Amino acid sequence: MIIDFIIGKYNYLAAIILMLIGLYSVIINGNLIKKVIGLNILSTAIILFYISVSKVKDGSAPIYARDVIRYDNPLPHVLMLTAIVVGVSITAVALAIIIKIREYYGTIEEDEMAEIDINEEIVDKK
Amino acid sequence: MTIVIDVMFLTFLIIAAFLSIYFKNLLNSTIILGAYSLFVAVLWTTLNAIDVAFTEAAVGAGISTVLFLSLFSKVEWEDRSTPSKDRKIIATSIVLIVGYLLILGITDMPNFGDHSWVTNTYLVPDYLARTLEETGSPNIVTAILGSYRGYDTNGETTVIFIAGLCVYLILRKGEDK
Repeated sequence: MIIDFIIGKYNYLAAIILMLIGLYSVIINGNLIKKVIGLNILSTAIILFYISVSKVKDGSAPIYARDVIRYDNPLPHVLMLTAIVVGVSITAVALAIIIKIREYYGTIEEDEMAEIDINEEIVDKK
Repeated sequence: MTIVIDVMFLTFLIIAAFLSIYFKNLLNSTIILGAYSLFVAVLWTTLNAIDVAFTEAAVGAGISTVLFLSLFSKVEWEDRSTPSKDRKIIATSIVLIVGYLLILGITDMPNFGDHSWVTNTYLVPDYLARTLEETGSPNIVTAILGSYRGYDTNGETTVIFIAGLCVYLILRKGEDK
């Protein structure tokens, strides 16, 4: 039963594993660039899930042609084109903010930034 | 035959994703992320999502790798973080809970490639039947993107414009102070 489950849905399972790898990277890494890499992997996993939903058995690419049994579902493809572009926009803005943080703190590690913040508070109180 | 290629590329993907978060040298991570995007593009060609594949190859593997590499001219490429033990426990438990819920979610779904599922029978045959005479485009994805869902595409363009504006405003040296 478990083997049937895995064979029938291997694409969805791979999407879930990728999603969890990305989520783990976002939570655990103190380095900001690693967090952005995790976000990229996460968005790709979600796109993989949608594209897997759109694939049908014996389907051909959604371009009109002769001798076609059935076409794949074109609607998720359209939505995921938008999602890819939005993902790259997120990456660009996040990296710009990282450059600004590096200019202000001199580091991109969360722990060191927290230390600098605490020291500044102590100086302010004195 | 397709299942063998699919499983091979999915294994590549998982290995590449794992390695790109495993390396402590961020240049390695970035290069492997580019390779990951390229694997994804090939996988989407095998899944017949051709438009998505070349968008990913150009935008995901190209532009975002270039963005990461240009970042390293200003930021060091060494990951010096050492996650504490509490954080590892919290992250592992969150990942396990979310993974359990997601796997619970896909048990209800029909098998991969099922053409009688509701997402493939509702509204889509309508698009497939009417696109050629209504828009004249043989590529259905392009027809939906440019014609039926033109407002979506317009919004996407707005998103790119706003993202570019944000990057400009964030990185601008303050001349007006």
